[in-house]
Amino acid sequence: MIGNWQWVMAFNGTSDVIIIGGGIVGCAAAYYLAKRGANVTLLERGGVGSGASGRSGGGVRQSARVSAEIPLAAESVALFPTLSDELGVDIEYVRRGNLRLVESVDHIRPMQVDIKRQQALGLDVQWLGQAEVCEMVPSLQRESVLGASFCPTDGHANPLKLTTGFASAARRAGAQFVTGCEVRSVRQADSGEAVLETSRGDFRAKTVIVAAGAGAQKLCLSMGFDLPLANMRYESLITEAVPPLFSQMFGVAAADLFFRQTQHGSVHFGGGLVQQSESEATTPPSACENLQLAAEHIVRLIPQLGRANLVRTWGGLDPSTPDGIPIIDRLDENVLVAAGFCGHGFAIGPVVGRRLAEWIANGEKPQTLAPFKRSRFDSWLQTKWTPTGSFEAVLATEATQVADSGNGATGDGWRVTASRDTRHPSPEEAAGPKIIVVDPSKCTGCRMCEMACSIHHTHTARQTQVRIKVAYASDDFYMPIACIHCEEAYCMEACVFEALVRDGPNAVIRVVDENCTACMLCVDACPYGGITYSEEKDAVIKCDLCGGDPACAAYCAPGAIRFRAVAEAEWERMKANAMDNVGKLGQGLK
Amino acid sequence: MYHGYTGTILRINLTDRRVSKEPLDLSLAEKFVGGRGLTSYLLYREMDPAVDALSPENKLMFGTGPLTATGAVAASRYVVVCKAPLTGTIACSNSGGFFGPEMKFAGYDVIIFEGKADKPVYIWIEDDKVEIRSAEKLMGLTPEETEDAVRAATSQLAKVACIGPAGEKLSLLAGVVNDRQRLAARSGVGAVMGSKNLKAVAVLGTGSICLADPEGFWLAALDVLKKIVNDPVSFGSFRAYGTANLVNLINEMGAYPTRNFLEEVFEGAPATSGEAIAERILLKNRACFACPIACTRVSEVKDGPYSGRGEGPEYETTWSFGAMCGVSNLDAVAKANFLCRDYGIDSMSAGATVACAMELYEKGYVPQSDIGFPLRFGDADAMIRAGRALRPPRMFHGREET
Ligand SMILES: Cc1cc2nc3c(=O)[nH]c(=O)nc-3n(C[C@H](O)[C@H](O)[C@H](O)COP(=O)(O)OP(=O)(O)OC[C@H]3O[C@@H](n4cnc5c(N)ncnc54)[C@H](O)[C@@H]3O)c2cc1C
Repeated sequence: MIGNWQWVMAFNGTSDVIIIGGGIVGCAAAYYLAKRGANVTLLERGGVGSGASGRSGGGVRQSARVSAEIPLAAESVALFPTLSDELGVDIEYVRRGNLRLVESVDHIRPMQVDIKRQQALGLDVQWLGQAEVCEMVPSLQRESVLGASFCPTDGHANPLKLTTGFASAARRAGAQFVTGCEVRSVRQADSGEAVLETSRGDFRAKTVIVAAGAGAQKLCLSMGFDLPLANMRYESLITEAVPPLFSQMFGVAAADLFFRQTQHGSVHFGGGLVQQSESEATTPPSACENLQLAAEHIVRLIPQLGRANLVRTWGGLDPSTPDGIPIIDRLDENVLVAAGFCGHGFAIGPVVGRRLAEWIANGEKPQTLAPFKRSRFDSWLQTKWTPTGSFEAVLATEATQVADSGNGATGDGWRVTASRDTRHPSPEEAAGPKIIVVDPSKCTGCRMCEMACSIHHTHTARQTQVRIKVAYASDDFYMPIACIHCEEAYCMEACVFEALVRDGPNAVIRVVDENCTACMLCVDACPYGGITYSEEKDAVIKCDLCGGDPACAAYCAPGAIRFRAVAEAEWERMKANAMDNVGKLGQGLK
Repeated sequence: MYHGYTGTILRINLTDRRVSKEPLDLSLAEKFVGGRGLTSYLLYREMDPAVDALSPENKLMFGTGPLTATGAVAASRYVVVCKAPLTGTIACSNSGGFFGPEMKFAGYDVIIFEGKADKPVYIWIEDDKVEIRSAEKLMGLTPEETEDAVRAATSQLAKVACIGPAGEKLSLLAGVVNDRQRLAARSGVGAVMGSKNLKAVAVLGTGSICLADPEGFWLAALDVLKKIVNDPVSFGSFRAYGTANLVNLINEMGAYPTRNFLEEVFEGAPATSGEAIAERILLKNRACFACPIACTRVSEVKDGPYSGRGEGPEYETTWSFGAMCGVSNLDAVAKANFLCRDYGIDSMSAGATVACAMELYEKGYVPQSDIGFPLRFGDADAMIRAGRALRPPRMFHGREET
C-alpha cells in the first residue's frame, strides 16, 4: 500500500481510462481493457472486492431475471467455464443448476407462469414437482418444498476469487490499481478530458467508467446526473465446513433467501431484499433480526444445518433501479456508468466488464447493452425512488416549478433532473424583459392554458372570451396563440382612444377598460388574432401577462408555454420558427 | 345557484321532435355524483328495464360530471348510458376528448335522447338553440367523414359525437365516436344511437361554469397537477408509451391474455408494446381536455399493406388484436385499429371476436369453407381479413374501401 502511495505521488500523466470501483465490474473492465493494450487505472476507496462483489452470494444464474437481462446473463454464463484458465485462479465454478424453491401454494401458479415467460425467451428452465426436487436434492426437507423452477445451466462460483482474479490478471496485463483512494467528484476540464478529484489528489483520463456500486449514485450526482439508484442491503451468513449436502445454487420464490455450499464445505446463505439502506458505508451493521430469520428459514429447508455453527456474518450494499435491471450507459463524452445491478450483478459482472472494454475500444455501444440505457428513466423527474414499490417524487425546490412559472428550471419545464447538466447553462438564463415563449412541438392540445386564463381573469371556467386560444392545424400540429406584445404594435397605432397602453418591466400592452369604446379597430389591426371582443365587458380583452406571472405558463405541464427572457441570439431563431409555425397553422386552418 | 353543474338537463324526443329543458335537482346530483351516477339514476327512474334495447323505448343519455370543463385536471370525459343491446343490462361507456366539456359549455349536464326519428337525423346544439336536422346525406359515412360534414354544415368549432356505419346497421360492436376518433366503445351503445336514427350530435358552447371558490379550486387543481407531473407512472410511462405501457408490464406479470385466453404470456408483447409504438409509429402525443398527461398516440404506419394514420393503438387494442390473435406485427395491429375506427366499432370486442374465431377454426369447430381462408393464430393477414369481415354492409355508399 505504501509503495502504491509513492507511485501516486509520482503520477502525473493522463490515463486512457480510469475505472472508479474495484468490484467485479471494475476489475473485469480493467482486465479486458488492459488486455486490449489500453492504459488503464483503477481507483478503489477500500480494497479490491471490498464492496458488494467480495460479499456476494456467488450465484451465477440466468433464471429469475428480468427479460431484458436474460440474453446478457446467458452470454456471461457461457464465459464462466473459461475464466479459471484465463485468469489463472480456480474460481470454484460449479454448473449444477439453480433451483428456485416454492414454499407456499400461492407461489406455484406465478412461478409456473414465470417459467413460461423465461422459456419464451429461449432459456432452458423447467418446473419440477416436489418429488423431483427432493430426488435431486435429498437433503431438502420434503414438507417444506412444494416444487421449484430449475435451470440446469445456472451455477455458482467464488465471488472474491473471481474479483481478485480479474484484478491480478489486469495488473499483470499492465493496469494500475490505486486502492484506498476515494473519488469525490468528476468534472470536465477545458482540455476536454475528465478530471477526478480524489482523496489522493487529482487524476486525469480521457474516459471514465463509474463502476462504483453503492457509491455510484453520489458520484453521478457530482456530475449533475441524478440516477434512480437506491442502495439495498443484503445479509450474508456462513457456517463452518460441513459434509457435502448439495451442489446447486438455491433461491426461493419469495426471493428472501439464497444459499450454496462452497468448495471448502461451508454453507453460505443470506437474505435477499431485507431493507433499504440510507448509508453507503462500506461496512454496514448487521441486522440481527434478519440474520435470525434467514437462519431459521434455511433450517426449515435443510434440517441438518440446525447443528452447524455459524462462523461469520456480514452485509453488503448493491443499488437497485426501479425496473430491476442496471444502468449501463454513457453519461457524456467522457463518462460511462455501470451500476444498479439489483442484487445479482456478480453473475453478469464479467461480461459487463468485457462489453465495456469493447465499447471503449470500438467507440460503439455493443448490442447486448442496449436495454440498459439511462434514457429509460428520463421522464422519472427528480424521483427519490424507494424499492418497496411505492414512488415518492421529490421536487428539487418545491417553489421553482409552478410559482416561479418556469424561470430557472431547464429543458422541459417540469422536469428538473432529466437534463440537469450543470455544465451547459441554458439560454433561459438570459436577463431582461420576459415574454411568453411557445414551443409547438411540446403542445399536446389540452387547452389547460385557456382554462387557466379564464379562471384567472373571470373566476369562471369558459372557453370563449379567453386571452389565449389553442389553434389546431392538423392531427399533429397545434399551439396556443396569444398576444405577443409586438414592439411595433399595430393595435396601438389603430386605437384612437388611448385604450391600449404599454407599461411595466415586461413592456406589456394592456387595455384601459374605461377608455375602450369597443370600436374594434384594434381587433382588425392585429395580424395574430391576439385581441378579442368581450360582450360582458363591452370592451376588448387581451393578454396582460397576468400582471407578471402568467397563469397559462404556470399551468402548462408539457412545458409548451414558458414565461422567460430571451437572449438576443435566440431571437433570430425564434423569428424564423414563428414564420414556419404561422405557415403550418395557415395551411391547417384554411 | 349551481356550482360545477350547469343545472340543466336537455331532453330531446326524436319521435315527436320535442325539445325540452329541465332544471337539475341538486339534491339528486349530490346523491348520485358525476355523469355516471346521475345518468344511471335517471335511466333507472325513467325507463322500464324490460324494454328492448334497440326499441324506441330505450333512452340514450350523454352525461358529464361536476368537474367536467371546470379546468379540474383531466376532467374531460362524458358517459353514454342506456340499456345495452350487447349485454342486456345497463351500459356505461365513456370517452375523453373535447365533446364532454363542450356539452357543459353549451349549458347541459345531461342530454337525454328518447324515441326514434322517422328518418336519419343529426342534432345541432349551439348554446340554447337546439335543431334537429336531416342526416340523410351522412348515412354510410365514416365517423371522420361525418364529423367533417357536420362541422362544415354547422361550425368549424363544433364538437361532434356520432356513429359510424356499424352503428347505423345496429352492430352490437358499435360505439359512439366523438372528436373524430375516440369511442365510447363498449356494450353496443352505438347501435342504440343507430336504432334512434340519430347519426350525430354537434355541440358548440360559449357559456361558463361557476365555481364556488375559484381561487381555492384553482389552487387545488395546481396541487393535483403537481402530483401528476411528479408521478413517474402518469407523467413518465403514460406520456412516453401511452396506455400500451401496460403491455410489457402485464406480460411480465404473466397476466396478459393471449390467443383467446388460452395462454397468459405473449412472446410478441415487446414488438407490440407501448415502447415499440413509441419507437416505430408515434408521431406525437395528444391530450384530452385539460389533461397534462397526453397519453393519446397520434401514429402513422407509413407504407406497406397496413399503412394508415390516426390515434392509437391503445393498450386494449394491442391486446385484443395483438396478443389475443397471437399477432406480433405492430403495423397490422395499428391497421386493425384504424379499420375499427372507420367502421365505428369497439376494437376490444372486435379483436376478441376475431381471436375467438381463430380458436374455433384451429380446433376444427368452424370449417375453412365457412370462413373462406385459413384463420390461424398469429397470421396478421388473416386477422385483417377477418377484421374486414366485420365491416357493415353497404358501407361507404358502395365505394371501394381503401
Ligand atoms: C450479500 C450479497 C449477496 C449477493 N448474491 C449475489 C448472487 O448470488 N449472485 C449475483 O449475481 N449477485 C449477487 N450479489 C450482487 C453482486 O454482488 C453485485 O451486484 C455486484 O458485485 C456488483 O458489482 P460492482 O462491481 O458493480 O459493485 P461493487 O462490488 O460494490 O464495487 C464497487 C466498488 O466501488 C468502490 N467505490 C464506491 N464509491 C467509490 C468512490 N467514490 N471512490 C472509489 N471507489 C469507490 C467500492 O468500495 C466498491 O469496492 C450479492 C450481493 C450481496 C451484498
